Amino acid sequence: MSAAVETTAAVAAASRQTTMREKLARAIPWVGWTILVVLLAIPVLGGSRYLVYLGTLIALQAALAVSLNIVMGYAGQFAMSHAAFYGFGAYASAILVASFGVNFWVAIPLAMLIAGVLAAIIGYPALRYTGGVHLALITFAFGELARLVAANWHSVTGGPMGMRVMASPPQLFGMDFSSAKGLYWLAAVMLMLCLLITVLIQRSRFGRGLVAVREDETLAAFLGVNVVGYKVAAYVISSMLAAMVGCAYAPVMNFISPELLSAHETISLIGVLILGGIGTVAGPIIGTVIFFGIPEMLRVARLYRLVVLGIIIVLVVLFMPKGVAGVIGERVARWKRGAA
Amino acid sequence: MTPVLRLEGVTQRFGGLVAVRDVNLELPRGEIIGLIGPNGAGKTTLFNAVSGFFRPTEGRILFDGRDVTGAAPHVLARQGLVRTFQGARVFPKLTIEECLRTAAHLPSAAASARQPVIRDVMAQLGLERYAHELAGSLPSGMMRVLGIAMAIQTGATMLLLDEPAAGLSAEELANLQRIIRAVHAAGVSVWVIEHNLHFLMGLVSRAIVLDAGAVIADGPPAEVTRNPQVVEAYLGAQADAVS
Repeated sequence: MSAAVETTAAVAAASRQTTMREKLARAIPWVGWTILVVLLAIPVLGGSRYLVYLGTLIALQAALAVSLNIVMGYAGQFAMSHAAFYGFGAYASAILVASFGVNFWVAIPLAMLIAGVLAAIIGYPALRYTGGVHLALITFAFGELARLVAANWHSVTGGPMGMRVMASPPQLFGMDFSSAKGLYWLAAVMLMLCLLITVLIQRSRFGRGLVAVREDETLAAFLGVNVVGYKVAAYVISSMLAAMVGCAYAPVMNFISPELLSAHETISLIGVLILGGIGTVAGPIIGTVIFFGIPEMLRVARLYRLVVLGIIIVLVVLFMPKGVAGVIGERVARWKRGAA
Repeated sequence: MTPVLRLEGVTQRFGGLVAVRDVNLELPRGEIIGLIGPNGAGKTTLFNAVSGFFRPTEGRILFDGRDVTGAAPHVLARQGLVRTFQGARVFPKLTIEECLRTAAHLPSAAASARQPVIRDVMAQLGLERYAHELAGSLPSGMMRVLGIAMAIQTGATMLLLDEPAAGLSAEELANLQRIIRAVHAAGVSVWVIEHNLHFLMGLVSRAIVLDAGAVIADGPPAEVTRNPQVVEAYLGAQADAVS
């Protein structure tokens, strides 16, 4: 094993030379977090009403993309029901508050709990098979079903015209959440929560297992991963977080409609993930900022935004299949090893 | 001492086809044992039944004295029984380092007390200089080694290797033999399917010969290859394999 010892020594020498680079490379995620905190602080510190409102929408969209990334990016499962759970959260919390008099802060965990149970019921039969087509079809069907229920159950949801949400969140820990800035904080906290959960998952045994499942389900099983259990867990967590973000949507917009649940909302979220870098921590946020932030600031009409997104996604898939964050990550890794 | 693996009347049928017929075996702990036989003899099917790929139609399988008949692959892996696949199966889009780190994290918390028998698998198995390469870009010899290294990382106490040597160059074969010996020396029991008899002869203490789903010979490799039944079933068809 002397050859192995020599290699170890050589590697050790090489790593001493690159410690400076490694230190810098290791600092990059922290730079990212700092940028995020600064971005999140802007609407609060110097914000016009418009900027606060825009920040709230982007934070909610980013939280949604981050939560979808858990099941799609890490577990590699094609779930088409994300917008449905988002809309479910919005309707559930609004109905719980308006019709049942439940406190908004209690309605959030309640809505999440019901969403989790629903996701487990849908996910388990669909995820027992390898390949993903089952899940895509079943979750698409569930999403459409949920949208049709929202559009036709007039007495509860107000039907296709949607429903007005008048209630705003009550105070919590002495903080006022009824103002525009309060709602912005709510959205920002939800985004940070989704990110925190992503980072915790990524660093855990569970997260490693999800990546193994994404790369090769059979091999993962033979190395000790409970493949079906892990996939269902990822889908349930993802869907519960979508419902949570939905709970904040209702008081922000004061209005919800069945369109919120439609599959093309999920598809544009998938576009955001591809654009930003699927399966990375920063990817969903970068994608959201590019897709929602920049066009919004340039005041491009919604119609053109989808056209622009389509073109961007084609270009990204052709030239950087791992998305913006994926390209940055690769560059950093190569540079760290001293090859760039 | 209880055998590490015990098969009692294991039979695997697919419709009318009997792929594995009433196999009774005891594999003692800490040995390298070969499983040979002509193509279609049922070697991989037997491995599939033992490793949880499918439940045997009849019979019982005991690992470490526990009945594991029909247990799911991940349950077996957590108990320490890990298989590799024909050719090599790795996570091609992950780097070697990521593959090994991933494998090390897979078993349940309950099994985490069981450490890999080799402390620094990457260095000990000669994978270090490939650490940042994508697993899919490795030469096939190293890919097989990586497959074994990943199995070790999970804390495996027994490896089932399905034709690890197929299609490797002489140099790669020698390296693979070295690796398997090192793994064995660290305390892992190994059961290996192989076509290449040269490769097996210098490696295993015992060879089990399977033909048409049944065990037709079992013993030291030199003895087994002289068995007329084996010569007819296996070597008769592929005499060049030993010459």
